[in-house]
Amino acid sequence: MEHLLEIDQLKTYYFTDCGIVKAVDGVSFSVEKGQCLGIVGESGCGKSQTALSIMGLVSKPQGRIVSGKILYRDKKGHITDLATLSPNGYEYRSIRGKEIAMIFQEPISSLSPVYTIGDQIVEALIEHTTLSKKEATHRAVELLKTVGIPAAEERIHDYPHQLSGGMCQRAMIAMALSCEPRLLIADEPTTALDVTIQLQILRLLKELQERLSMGLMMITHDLGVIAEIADYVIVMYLGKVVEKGPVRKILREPKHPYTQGLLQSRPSGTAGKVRLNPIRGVVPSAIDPPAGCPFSTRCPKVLDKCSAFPPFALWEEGHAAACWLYENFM
Amino acid sequence: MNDKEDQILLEVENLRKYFAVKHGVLRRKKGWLKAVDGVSFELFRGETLGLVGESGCGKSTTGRIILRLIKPEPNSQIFFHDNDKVIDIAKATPQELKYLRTRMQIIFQDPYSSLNPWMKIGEIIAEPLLIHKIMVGKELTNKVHSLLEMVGLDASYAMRYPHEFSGGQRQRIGIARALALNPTLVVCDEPVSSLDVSVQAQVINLLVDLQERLHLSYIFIAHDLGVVRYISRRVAVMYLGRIVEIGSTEEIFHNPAHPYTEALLSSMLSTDPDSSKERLQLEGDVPSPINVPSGCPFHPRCRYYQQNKWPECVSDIPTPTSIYSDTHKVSCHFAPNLNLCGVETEGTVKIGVKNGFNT
Repeated sequence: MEHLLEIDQLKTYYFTDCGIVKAVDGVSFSVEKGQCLGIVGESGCGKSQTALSIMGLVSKPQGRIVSGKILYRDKKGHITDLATLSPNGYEYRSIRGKEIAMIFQEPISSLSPVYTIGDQIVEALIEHTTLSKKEATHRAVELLKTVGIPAAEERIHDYPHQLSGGMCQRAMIAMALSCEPRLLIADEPTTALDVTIQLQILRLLKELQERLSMGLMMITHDLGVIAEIADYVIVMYLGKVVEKGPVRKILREPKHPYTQGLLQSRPSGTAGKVRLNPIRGVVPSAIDPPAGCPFSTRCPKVLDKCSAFPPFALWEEGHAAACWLYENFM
Repeated sequence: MNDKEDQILLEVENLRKYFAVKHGVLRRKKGWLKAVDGVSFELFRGETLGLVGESGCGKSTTGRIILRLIKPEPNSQIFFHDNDKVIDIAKATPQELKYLRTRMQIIFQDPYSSLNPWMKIGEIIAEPLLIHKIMVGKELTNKVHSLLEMVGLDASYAMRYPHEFSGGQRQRIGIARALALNPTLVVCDEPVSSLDVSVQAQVINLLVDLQERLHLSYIFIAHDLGVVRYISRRVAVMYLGRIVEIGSTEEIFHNPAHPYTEALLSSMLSTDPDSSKERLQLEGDVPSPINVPSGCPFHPRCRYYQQNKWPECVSDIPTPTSIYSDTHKVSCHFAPNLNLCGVETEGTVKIGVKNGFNT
């Protein structure tokens, strides 16, 4: 299958006064058309930075893509390396928002408070399409209906503060979908929402992804969200991919001790039965990460070998984990 | 269950709090926001009561009224059963309140904004002890150090400032501060929702350990049903300022009697990729607490009302009635007629008969 997006050894570093933060440190993966890729990890693991690198939104001047390729295949099959493009250049601007769109975590703070949601959707449409303002407005109403906002003709004149969190997130999704992107990146789209609304939004994303056969990249810290929506999963820790594989494999037979720890620290069952089994310690500072395997400082099964970064051990269906516990290396 | 666990610590009766909604230049009252509207429950010694519901359902307000951080409406009653006397928190005098503050404490949601960035950790934890003039000098320093060790932090951290700590460590500091006065009741207002999964489990374990050691009673406010199920002995489900269902954790999760509870449980995500993908989806948002729907506040979103259009749901407010057992109470006119589904086994959600209605 031809990849929609292929990331190869991406390194995004931040050069701060305190030292170099290796936010993304040699990450490789690919997204297929019509597939949902889940990226899971705790705060500071580089999952959002990976998304921002793809969008060309790494904050300057400290942040920079140091090396690696972000290969995007457009409709005609032409491959562009986004990492080499100027983030403000014409080429990037014609891809960002049109071909690759992104939904952010906090719907209320990522919409502009001084424009109506209609204006914000129309702006994207006028920028990227040849529609007139009137046609764009008409299209915006249609989009709001698609994402399930009732009375869309009236809501289009509302400001973000007049809508609830769930409705704002729907408006964000409508905006992201306005130009029919081929890849949608959703960065923790449901974290700020209630459980009932979370389910509505996940359903909506899944349905839209299937209908428009988009590639969807779902970034989350919640393994429950992954189980609900993802086809293929990448587990990240301190800027590195530690495990990847199909969703069933990752959740049923996790191989990396970090993935196992994440699954075990989720409370399940009723009170007093079993003590939770958390991962000991805290995530080390990204400025001074442990040498070798990033998880070695917290790993219950740490070995002497762990001072060197392990290669990926491989199982069937592309399930792989970077851990010295296994011997079936690539 | 021994006798001590059956002793009532807190009796809340008919708790109400209305906030005036003001509008225009003259700040005229336009209406009332009924944040908490007739909540009654009791809390036993040494137990954890989980309060769940969507945002805006009044769960945090309830917690804060119990601590009298917010004054409730006049005829609300909150009886606090202290060692030998009973105090009505809702009508407590300033002296009584000062005493009550040593008996009940709160752990806040956001560990970043609930610690004063200008104070050292030691000062933050010592402050309640100084205010209540409990100890000074060497004794105080030792107490602060033992509190820090109790929550799993190093005693030397007392000289550091909050910004030097991670979210999980800050939450531990917040817990040490809450426990400094040796309270019996602790209101935990979403204590783990801003933490990462692995750290969340550490803090939950700490809360459970401390409860056993110090015989604490928790009111645990959270929207994460997995956490509530793990930590609570009993659960109260709130919707638009009312408790719609209350009962033991097992009963609520396995045998819910209110359609709202059923919908909430069904929206719980599990890590089992093969768990039934057929979920009951709750449509729409929570209505505004300024214009609460008539009758049962849940009826506009209730799938059983939509199927059957019972007139009672629109005309009468349901009162809490016992169902299945004495301790399990539900506010729904038709609860005995409904056949609702709970969480079957670990993580999986059972979806029952199609129309879910027995005649």
